[in-house]
Amino acid sequence: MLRTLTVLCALLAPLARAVFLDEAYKIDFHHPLLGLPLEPATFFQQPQPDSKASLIYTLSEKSVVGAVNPKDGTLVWRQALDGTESSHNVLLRPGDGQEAILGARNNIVTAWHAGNGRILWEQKLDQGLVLDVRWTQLPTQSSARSRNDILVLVRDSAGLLLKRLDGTSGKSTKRLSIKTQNVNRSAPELP
Amino acid sequence: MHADSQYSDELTFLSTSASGEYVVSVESASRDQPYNIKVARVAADTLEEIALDGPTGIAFPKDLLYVGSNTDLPVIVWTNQLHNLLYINIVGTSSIATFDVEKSSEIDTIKIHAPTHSTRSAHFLIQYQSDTSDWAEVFHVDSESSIVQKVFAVPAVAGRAAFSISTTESGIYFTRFTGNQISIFSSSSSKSIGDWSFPKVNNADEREEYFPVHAQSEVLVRNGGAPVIRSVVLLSNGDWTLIKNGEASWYRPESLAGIVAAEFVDLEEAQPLIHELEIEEQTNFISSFVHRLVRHVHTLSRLAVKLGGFKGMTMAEILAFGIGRKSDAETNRVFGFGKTVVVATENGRLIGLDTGNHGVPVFNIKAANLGADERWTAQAVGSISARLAEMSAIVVKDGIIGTTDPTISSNFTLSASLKSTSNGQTELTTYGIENEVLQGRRDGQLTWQFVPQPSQRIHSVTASVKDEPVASIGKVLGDRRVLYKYQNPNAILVITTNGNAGTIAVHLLDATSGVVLYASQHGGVETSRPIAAVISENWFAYSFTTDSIDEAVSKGYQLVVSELYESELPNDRGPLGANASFSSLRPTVDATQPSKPHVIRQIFHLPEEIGTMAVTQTSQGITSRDLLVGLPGTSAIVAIPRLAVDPRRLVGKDPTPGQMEEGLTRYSPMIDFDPKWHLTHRLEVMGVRKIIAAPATLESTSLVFAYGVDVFGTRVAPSFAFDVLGGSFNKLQLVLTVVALTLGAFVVAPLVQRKQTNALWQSL
Repeated sequence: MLRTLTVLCALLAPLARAVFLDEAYKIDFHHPLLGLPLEPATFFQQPQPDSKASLIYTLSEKSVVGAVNPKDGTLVWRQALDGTESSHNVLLRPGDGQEAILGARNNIVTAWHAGNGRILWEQKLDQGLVLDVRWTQLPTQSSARSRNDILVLVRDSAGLLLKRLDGTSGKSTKRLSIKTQNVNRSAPELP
Repeated sequence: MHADSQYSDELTFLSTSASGEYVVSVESASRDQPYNIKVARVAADTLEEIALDGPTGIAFPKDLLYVGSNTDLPVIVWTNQLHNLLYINIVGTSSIATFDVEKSSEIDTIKIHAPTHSTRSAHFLIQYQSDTSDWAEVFHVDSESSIVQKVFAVPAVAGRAAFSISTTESGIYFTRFTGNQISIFSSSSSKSIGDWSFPKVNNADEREEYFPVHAQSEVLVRNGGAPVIRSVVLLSNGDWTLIKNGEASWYRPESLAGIVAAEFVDLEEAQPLIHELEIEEQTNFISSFVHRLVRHVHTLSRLAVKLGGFKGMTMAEILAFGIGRKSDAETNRVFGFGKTVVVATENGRLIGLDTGNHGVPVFNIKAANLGADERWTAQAVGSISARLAEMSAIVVKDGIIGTTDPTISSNFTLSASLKSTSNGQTELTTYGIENEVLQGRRDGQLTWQFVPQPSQRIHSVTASVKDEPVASIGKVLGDRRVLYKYQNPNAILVITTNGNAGTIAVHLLDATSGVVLYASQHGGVETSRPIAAVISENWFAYSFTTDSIDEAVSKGYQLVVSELYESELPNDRGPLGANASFSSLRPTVDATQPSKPHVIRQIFHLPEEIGTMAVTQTSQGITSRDLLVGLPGTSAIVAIPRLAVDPRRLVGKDPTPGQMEEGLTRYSPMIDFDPKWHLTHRLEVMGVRKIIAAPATLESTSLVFAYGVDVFGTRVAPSFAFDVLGGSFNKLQLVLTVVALTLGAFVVAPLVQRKQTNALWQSL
């Protein structure tokens, strides 16, 4: 009887093995990092157009998109982009006045909310590689839209494709297929 | 060189502005001709090419330096083959402006800093970088006439500089950052309107000249007042820092996201006492006696100081109960919690992190000269060596960093080296993968080879931690019999995979002789997913993801744990008997077969994928071990107790009381990660690639360090902290109780004495 009791008590001991509340941030340390920021993809932007506060947005060499608070250097939000080993062919664009950050990698175009990093919309193109993505600056036709349109340049098996996406929903509104005659098929050697 | 488009291998860009949308592309006219730049405007259904009047041929695609966008008058900038002429075209127009480039033969890189929002004035800066100096020129684009003019030149400055552009309502400002100075000037004149000296950023080594790599700024200019600027600058030592009006505000050690190797290093000097004792051992009798006397006299002289310190320390300890375990520097030093982790990062730096002080970097040293896109592929740091891609080694020993020449051939990837002792002498066998074959060498001579089957390739080779202490030679069963452990510190685990067939083969080899001690294989494995493995004392574990094709019944994540024993019968020493030593090289059992272990294996299902595994290490190996696993899916690190993954867990029946004493429970195929096992409580540790563990001075605690994208460190006490008084231990009550009892004893003793004496008299 006593033996089973002692055994039960011994088995209960492992339950006490945990990180205690008063030790939680004292015995451990954590550096939430992004990776070295890429120069063309680092910028200050105001997450809300009406307030003056701005955050530093960046895309790092490790393909992590994030926002840093310039007051104290803490991370506001970050997203690790899957499917990209390195930061080749990953683009990040500021969206001033749009409350959004635009990014593209491989065949996916994503828009994140500038304040909290949540995905507003994500468009996966059928095939191909996104070469460039830009916000347009032509005045929008209807005032109901809160964001400008987005132009996406894609290279797929048929040639170049120019797509127009709606800034609020990400849906493709127009597509234009460009057949270029002198497209250099082999990868150019960059000395 | 494309300032506004990242690393795109493709040569087509978009440029949008209020006047329209354009596609800028670089195309080759024919195979031999150089490339041509073409600009086309996006119309409703087609692209209308804009003919540029001027030379549009470039020699290499990277000579297209910049394609602007999202501003009023975006420009395209390119250079000719000799790099002595710059061509600038406003997107949408057909005229090309040509400018000379000074000192073009010295120039390394040309960078363009242009606005990316709508501005009243379209001004931009072109920066020229050479080996020795940096200079820049500012250009204006006149909006009415669409003419590009060079307005002024920014004087050259020695060393590297970084420029940033800030677009404000009052105009465009450029800021120049050099290693010593920060200066702001407006886009209309080169006279600087604000000057500061470059501040010292925390933990930067003073001996090294670090320079800013790139910067982004926000400038606010009040009417008639000084400009207020805050800029975020990436320094050459990997720190990303914010400088506000010439003062460094915070820094983020972003180079830690690219750690390639890490090791716990004891950077404190070797204990002076041990050193002194060694001296005494080696000199003769008289001089060592005199030496000892002198040492004791020295210690006595420090006694007075120590006694004085005791009082304060004890009062603080006694009265401070209940506040919680103090984690100050003295506690860390005594308990061994404050070890330094030296990490080697991708950009060629060695950084030391103080684990006792929230992982703050304490030093940041440049260790390798790398080119622009090169990555340092160091494989290990610390007591062995860190290997660079060009095969020279860095040894971190006693806190000294030095470089040595390679001693092993250049295409031999060093995995680790192991010792084997024969005839009392220690020989070193090194093993590594060369040409897809695992080879072992001694003194440079090939001694054994492990060739995987033709369809398989070697996925990983895992060895146990060097000099791992093992506390007991056997496992005591409930009925007091002993299962003797098969302990071979030279055992390595080799995992080979066959991607097409989806199988993996696991071999346990003795690395000194190459003998296969155990082999096993699994089918239905998804070989593109991570396969983690770890080996420690007499057991090893590996995990993989199964795929539900043909053989495997379920799709999921599995963990296989195997234990090695000398023999399957308890109390049996196995083929080696009670020999004091064994030889890996000379077979023992009937002169043809080496002694092989008896393996007990069990497979468990996991709720999520394991990315990497490690085992906790303690200084004497008495504490039970936890299996530390990194979970990339939930960005967490979990410490699985060894008993939960014991391969001897009973299948199909409940444990007897004897087995319950051992800690065995009934086998259940699923292991759920108990929330209490999570070491990263609320933290999100992203992208964990490797975990390392090191012993602390306390036997109950092991230090853990994990790196990947994030860096995380903690302490684990797998058997509960049995050798430390908890923070809530009431020392004051203990002292008072002892004092009360002593007083009571003194008061009561004479009474008892008198009573006994009276009793003696009365019994007469």
